[in-house]
Amino acid sequence: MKNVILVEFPGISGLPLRDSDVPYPASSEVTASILGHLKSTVAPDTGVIAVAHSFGTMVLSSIVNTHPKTFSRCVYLDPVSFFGGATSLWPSLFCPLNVRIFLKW
Amino acid sequence: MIGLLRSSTLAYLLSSIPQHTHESTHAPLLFIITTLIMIDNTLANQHAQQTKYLQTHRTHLAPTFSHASWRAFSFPTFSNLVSSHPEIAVRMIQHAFYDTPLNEISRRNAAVALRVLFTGYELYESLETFENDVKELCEMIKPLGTYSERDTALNFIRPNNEITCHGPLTPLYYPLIVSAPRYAVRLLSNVFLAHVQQYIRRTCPDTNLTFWSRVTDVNQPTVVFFHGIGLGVIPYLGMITGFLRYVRERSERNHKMGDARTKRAYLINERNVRAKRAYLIGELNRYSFAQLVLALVHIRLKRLGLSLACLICSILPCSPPVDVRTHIYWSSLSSPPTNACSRSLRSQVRGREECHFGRIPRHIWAATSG
Repeated sequence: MKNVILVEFPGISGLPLRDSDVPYPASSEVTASILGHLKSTVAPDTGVIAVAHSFGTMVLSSIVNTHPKTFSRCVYLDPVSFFGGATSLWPSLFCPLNVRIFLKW
Repeated sequence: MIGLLRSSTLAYLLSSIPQHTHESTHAPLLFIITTLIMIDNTLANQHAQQTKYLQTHRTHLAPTFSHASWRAFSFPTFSNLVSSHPEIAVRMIQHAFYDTPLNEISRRNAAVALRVLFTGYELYESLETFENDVKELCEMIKPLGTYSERDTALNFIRPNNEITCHGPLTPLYYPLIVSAPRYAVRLLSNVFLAHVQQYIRRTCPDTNLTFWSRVTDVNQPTVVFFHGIGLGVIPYLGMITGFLRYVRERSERNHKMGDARTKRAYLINERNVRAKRAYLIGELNRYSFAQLVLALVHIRLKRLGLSLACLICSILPCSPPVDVRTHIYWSSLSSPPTNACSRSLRSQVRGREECHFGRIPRHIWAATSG
């Protein structure tokens, strides 16, 4: 695959915390940061496929809920199914069809 | 040190101890390695908050395992002993547990022993005093960093919040012996991504998110990968690779897949020739990989102004003289250690007989056995 983007979250998965004054980002800030990077990197209308594992599935769900047209496909690997107080993070059944297509994969 | 015991690394090590250590020789080794890791009290420079904490409170929380001179002598001795004569180490472990057979030493016994050894239980008159200090420790170790207050609804992304963590706040603690190899592996991955796989790294200044991007064909779809917390993705690596191949084949139906010769030409003729040629050499075997990681650990230590001897000495809760550090280094990392080296080390610590090997009080052992 030629076009791949890897996202590293600060303080997660052993990524050391930086000695800076930047606080832990909130979900909206993470979403805005990822969307901004995609906008500056990926050409429009080429399709963006999201692959998420474990903790990343929560981040992906958050983005899909707030910006459902961002990804053309979503792949959840070992997703976080039961997450206290955050069930609303899962993509809604009323979300656009292109988000639910991943179920057919 | 309950807070430090919550470290994922130590929790992993403790969980690796079998419930009943049937004649397994790795159990004493694991016990000693865990012990050596936990008595790290110099810490890496980057853990400023933990360092400040331990420097402030180490007086009554420092391990009272034994005297410094004994520890300086015992580290290389134990290390070499376990590797060469595991049966002697087993005997020593049994001795520490009041000559209990090894197959009767449970994981809980080992966990309690570690806690007692490194919280200096001997200094406390009662268990209540000990537990109070543990509570004080948990109170003092607070989460690193601050949280952004712009979003109060969905803060699941932040670690140690009321949703992801229902217990007390638990910052991760990584001693130098863990953080340095971890840094080395990460550095190795970064080099591979940047120089072999042609990824471009960018860090968002507002959120500290790091993006590794490789978008070379604007006509193809882009795959964005969100990682998890730990190593759980390893069983899925083959699936992810197959998925990427599937997406590529679907998007490049008319594009002929490159054969080995095409890939070789690509790797040699384009940018970063040297790194790509190194990639062509083939997979690293375990020995080479270990050498590479060790070299990267050395680079990390040099950047911190330290040496490998400092790494070894950081495990020791003492500050031996420089020449002793050198001997510890050589007798620990060189293989095999020379007798002359051991004799020299032994002669330097000889005469300091005030060392004391702490043992678990009998009533504590009785309360935790079984």
